[in-house]
Amino acid sequence: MSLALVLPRCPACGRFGTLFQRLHVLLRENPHLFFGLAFVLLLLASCLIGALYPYDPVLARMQGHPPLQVPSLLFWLNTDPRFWLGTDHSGQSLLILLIKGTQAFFFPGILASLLALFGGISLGAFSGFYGGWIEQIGRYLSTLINSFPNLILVLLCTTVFGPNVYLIAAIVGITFVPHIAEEIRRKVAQLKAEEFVMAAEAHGLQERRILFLHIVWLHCLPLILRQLVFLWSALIILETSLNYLGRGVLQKGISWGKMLYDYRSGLFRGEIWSPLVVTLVVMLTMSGLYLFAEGLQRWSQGKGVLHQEQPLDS
Amino acid sequence: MREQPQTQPHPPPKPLLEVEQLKIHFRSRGRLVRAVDGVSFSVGSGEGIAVIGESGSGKTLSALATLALVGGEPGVVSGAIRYQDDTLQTNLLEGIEACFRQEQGTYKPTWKAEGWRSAYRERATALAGRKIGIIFQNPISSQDPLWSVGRTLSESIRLHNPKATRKEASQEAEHWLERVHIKNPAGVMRSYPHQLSGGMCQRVMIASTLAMHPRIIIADEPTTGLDMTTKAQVLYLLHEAREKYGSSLIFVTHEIGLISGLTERVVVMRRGHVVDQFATSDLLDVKMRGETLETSHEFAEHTQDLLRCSLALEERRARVL
Repeated sequence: MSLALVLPRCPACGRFGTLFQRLHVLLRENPHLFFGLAFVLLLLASCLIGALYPYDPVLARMQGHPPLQVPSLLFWLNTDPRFWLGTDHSGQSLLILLIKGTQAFFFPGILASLLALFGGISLGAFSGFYGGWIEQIGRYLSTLINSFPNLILVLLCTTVFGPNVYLIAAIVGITFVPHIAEEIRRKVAQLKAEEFVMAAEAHGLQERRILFLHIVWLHCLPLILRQLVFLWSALIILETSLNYLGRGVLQKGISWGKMLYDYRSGLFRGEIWSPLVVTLVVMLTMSGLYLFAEGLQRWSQGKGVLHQEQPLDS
Repeated sequence: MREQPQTQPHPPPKPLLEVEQLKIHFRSRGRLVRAVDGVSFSVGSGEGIAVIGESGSGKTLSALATLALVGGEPGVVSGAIRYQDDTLQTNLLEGIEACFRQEQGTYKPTWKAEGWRSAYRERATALAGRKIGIIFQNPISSQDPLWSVGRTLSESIRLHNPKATRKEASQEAEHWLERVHIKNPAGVMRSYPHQLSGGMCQRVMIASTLAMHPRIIIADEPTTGLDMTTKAQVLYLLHEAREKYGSSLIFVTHEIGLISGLTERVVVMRRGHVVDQFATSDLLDVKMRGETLETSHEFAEHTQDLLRCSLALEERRARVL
């Protein structure tokens, strides 16, 4: 789906072009989106791989790989690809742990996205389109949600209700409602004064159809996707930092934050390789996601679409 | 100023659309702007009228009010807009009297106004497209920039005929593009509004309006920004629409030279009032002799000014050529 969205049919010649051609255009016109998309696809793929292949940490520990192995310069020649990133103190492969760890964000992320999307779109679209008292209520709700400090709210909730990753996801989702609502509200308020909205009304289209199909779906999609990317990165950072703080969300199972928590005592013994790799991967993920967001922003400004500007009647 | 037109070439038995004492007011920087102040006109079935006037005379606003497209506060404050054909009889502004109270010449909305506005919009949506179609003056920006022309067209076709499948609708859309004399319908179907020229886009808009078989077509300065040949083509399309489909036409324009042959009656507006109404045939023998206007018909003062200006322009153009 994402490929079809990013690479629409060429409007001038009506062809899709080969995938290679389209990707080449995308790379030339909008490299942010190209690399960001590649990264997001990689992340999704590792989620899937993690879900499909079972992993038993006890078995992995018994395989007898040397603990704290740092890959040599020629590691791709002489080691098993599963150990390209080395092992941690118990001899488990860091690569497999990291891939398995992405899964921890998957369902919570989907839950948070759905919550934020539902709240943000309905709040933003209605308050932007109708204005008046609906907008007042929306603004009040947004201020109310924004007035809670995020991390402290999560800490409080995990203390009261016990550690639960879905609870954290729900809180992240709700805290993102004002952001999405504000973006959409601004765009809708700007678009509803456009002539094509009036023309659609003059053709007898229902208001709801104009609002949700034409304005929100067609024109706000890049904005929404961008906010969702921010949501996922906020979720990853929050989960990682919470686990690191020891307000552990996952007592069993694998996640990036749990890995950091496990390796932090080794830091003082000079075992810096495994925490370094995990930290770098978190950083890379963040920058990849932000790259994707930037690419989406540029895409919404019309970059990275195969355009041959020429009038047809000649 | 004359109130009643003296001659009517086609006296309509029962007007299809009747606008009566329409008033549209706005607040702008604390002052009240009476954009439309008591305008009445009517269109019979199959009749064509032209609404002419300077910019800001309220002609576009009165046309937009027939489909509840007027925004702003307080907006439409008084009057009646009646539509009646064999199947539907409605007054769009029904119950407006209770929603605005008069205070020192201005209209203040009461608490009922909000609910009334949504009812007004609902009644207008029932008319929009199927009964009254509007062609706007800015054809490129009045289409969704992210949808291809074909999708926009088939959307209005499916609105008129909800049973049509996607494929049928797009086939019919191509037929309509052919009917407005577009040579390469398949290519135009795939293109986006910004890739087409203004004239092409206006033809597409006319096609999407005609595809819904409206009883009345409102053309709101449809030829603005088009060159002379394209202008002539657009006017010809409107003429053809009247001939073929028997729809009425409300032609809103400020160019007095365009209306002959297209309409039977002319309504002249100025500063929110109707200042003159006459038959288009009265314009036939208008001539300029020096600085004075020579006609057999007695026009209102403002109409004479308009005629003088347009004829002087014609003359100057003739001299240049």
